[in-house]
Amino acid sequence: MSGRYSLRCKITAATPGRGRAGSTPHRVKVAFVILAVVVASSLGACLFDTRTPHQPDKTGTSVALDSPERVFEAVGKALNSLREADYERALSQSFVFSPLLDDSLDQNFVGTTAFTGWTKQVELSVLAVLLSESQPITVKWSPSIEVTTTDFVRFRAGYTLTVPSRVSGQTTVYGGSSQIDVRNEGGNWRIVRWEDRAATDSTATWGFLRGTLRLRVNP
Amino acid sequence: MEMRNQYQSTTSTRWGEQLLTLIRHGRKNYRLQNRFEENRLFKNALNQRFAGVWSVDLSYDDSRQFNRAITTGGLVNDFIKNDRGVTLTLWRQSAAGHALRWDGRTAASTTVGKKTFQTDNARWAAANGGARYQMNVLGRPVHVSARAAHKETWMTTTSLSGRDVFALASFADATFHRLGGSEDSVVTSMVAVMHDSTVVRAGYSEFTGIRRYADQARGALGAQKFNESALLWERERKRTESITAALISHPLKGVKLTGDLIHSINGADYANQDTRFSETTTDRIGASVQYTAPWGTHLSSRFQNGVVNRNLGPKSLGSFREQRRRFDVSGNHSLTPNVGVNLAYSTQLAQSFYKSAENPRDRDQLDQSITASANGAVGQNIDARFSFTFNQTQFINIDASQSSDNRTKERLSVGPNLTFRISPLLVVEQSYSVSVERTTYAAMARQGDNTLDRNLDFSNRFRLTFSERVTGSLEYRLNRHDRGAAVGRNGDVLIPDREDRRDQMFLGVKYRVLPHVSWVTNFDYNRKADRTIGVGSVASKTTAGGIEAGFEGNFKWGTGRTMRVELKKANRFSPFNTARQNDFWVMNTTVEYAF
Repeated sequence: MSGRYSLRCKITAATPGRGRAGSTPHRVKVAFVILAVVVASSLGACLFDTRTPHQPDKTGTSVALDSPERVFEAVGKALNSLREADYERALSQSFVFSPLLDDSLDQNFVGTTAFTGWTKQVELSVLAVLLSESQPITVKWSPSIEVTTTDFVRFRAGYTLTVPSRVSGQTTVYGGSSQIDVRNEGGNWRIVRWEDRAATDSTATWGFLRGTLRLRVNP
Repeated sequence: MEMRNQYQSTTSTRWGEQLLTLIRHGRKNYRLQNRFEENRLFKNALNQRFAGVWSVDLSYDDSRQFNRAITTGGLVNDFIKNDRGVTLTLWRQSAAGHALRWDGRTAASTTVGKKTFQTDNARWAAANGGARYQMNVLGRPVHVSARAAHKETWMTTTSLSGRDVFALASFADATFHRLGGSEDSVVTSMVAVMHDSTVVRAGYSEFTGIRRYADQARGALGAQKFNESALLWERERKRTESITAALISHPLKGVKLTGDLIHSINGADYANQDTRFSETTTDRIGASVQYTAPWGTHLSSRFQNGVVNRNLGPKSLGSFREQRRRFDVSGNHSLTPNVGVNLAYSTQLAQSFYKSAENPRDRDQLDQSITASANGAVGQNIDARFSFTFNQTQFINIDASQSSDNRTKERLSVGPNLTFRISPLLVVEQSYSVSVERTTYAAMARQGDNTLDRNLDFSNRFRLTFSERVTGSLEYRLNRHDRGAAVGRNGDVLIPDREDRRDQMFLGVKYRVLPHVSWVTNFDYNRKADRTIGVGSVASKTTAGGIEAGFEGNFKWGTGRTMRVELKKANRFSPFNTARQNDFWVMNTTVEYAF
């Protein structure tokens, strides 16, 4: 197992580059730069060694993203199993999230950058905090299709997110409706845009939860 | 359908007043979603400057914003934000030409801000000042600067029952006093020229902000409880501190060395909501070397190492330390004036170590990327470009409860692009691409989840210039894709469970009827064939397309005065479209007129 993940440290012999019949100072400079690159590469091979994981004590299956609706299953499964993998797979590299205007103007977020530049990396860092502090989370979706083309589907999806906290012991329910854009990327359907569209009359939105977690990740 | 109008003007009088006016109006009608949005903004600002020993600026701002959204189902969401305020600023600065330069500024303001659901009355006073000194140390110039600022805000908020947009029942108007806060900041920096080719920069900054606000407590369902007894008084304290240093040096001709380091702390704590505590400490160091040879070859390399410590408080299980290292190397070289090559490699390792043993999310992520490209020209008429990209990401969960998800995702893409200028009348552009995306799981029990996606893309485009007035283009694109289980020792054998083929054709003709007006016709046709392989094999075909024709106009009357007009009729067909998506007009008008 470890061999699969480890990069072995190798010291490669430096070969000075050949300039175009250049003068000695140029050769010295080229050799200097190449030496720096080789030394850095060699050190890098050690510095980039990964850790050896433990043997898995449970198995599971991943959700095949072979149709647009499967992204909801992937997100729900990841939240319920407290494992990020399916959530990560369901997001496009170009993923963006946009909150409700009411949420972005909430007292908790005034004067902050809680919702600025919301990328896949931000979404996953916020997700890690959520999963760390929660017991299995359940989400109920009610998606309907608004736009369909061969490579793109726009859903209007109502949701109810139930989050039992491991920190406070309380269970909080979030609800609302989002516009979720899903695109076919090389054969896999992935979420490219998630835009909160409406709140419900008795719950905060998933976007509000995202904002509070973002402030903790990036105060 | 969208319409936007904007008017902006700046007027100066002989007595020194300056009046800024901005009017903006926008409407969006989502006719397929039964949704409507309207935005209106009116903004006025009047500035008057009085010159003396102390300069005095007096300004009045008036901004009115209205947003209305009617969502699917007819729910009306109005949002109003009207702000008015007067600001008085006194400032003074030293004369130019001295080694020591300084400036000081003090300001006070009173504003009234009205929103749909609350009115804020705020007063603030602030003072800031700074000095910059230039001196010589051992014959070398050194610049030192420092600034400090303080701001106090006093605010009263009246929450309005109009907040009750979701019919949340009775909540009377209530006024909350003693809100506001304070902010303090200090910024210092030093720049020293150590040698003709070596510059050192260092800086220190600190910010502390305290904000007192009132919020409605939230219930188990997450919604605010709208009554005064559920009022939550909160005192938020934010702190930022950073120390930075950087070095730039050119020790030899064509060689550039850089180094940088940063230490920063960002924190926030709350008097009441103790589960929202957060403190992030970042330490990062980086170094790079670049060389540009006299013949144009460029080599560069950069290494970065950083540690982030995130403390989310004693109650949280999410506190962790993240170690992130990154190495980049790249080079480009011109073999001949017409032929060049580029190479780049990068690798990044991010390792997270959670502080609580109960949290099983310790994880490594290793990203590697290799890109190579070559471009060349054969004479004046043929351009060619060849590119190769390989990305690999390893997701490694350390704990046994998570490690069955450990996987490697790889993507390989390779292909050439060619441009043939056959004659002034005809240019042909071709591109070919093969890409493979593979996900392989480390655990034997998950080998059934290994997947392989293969894409073959081809496109051919003719660009035609029939005459000065008539141009056209004809393009064909083909995508063949299959996916399935990746089996074999290295996961490189595909057992396909799905394959599809997409053919697309585009035809466009543009005829310039008048110097600024053209007739445009565009036609497109798409055909997609899917086949699911295996037991219960299913095949399906869909076709879609359309034609769009009409006028385009581009008019210009000098600098900043343009008008663009588009009026086209579109007819489309698709099994997924509604009648309104199949038959519509496209109308766009943009007028810009600078006075």
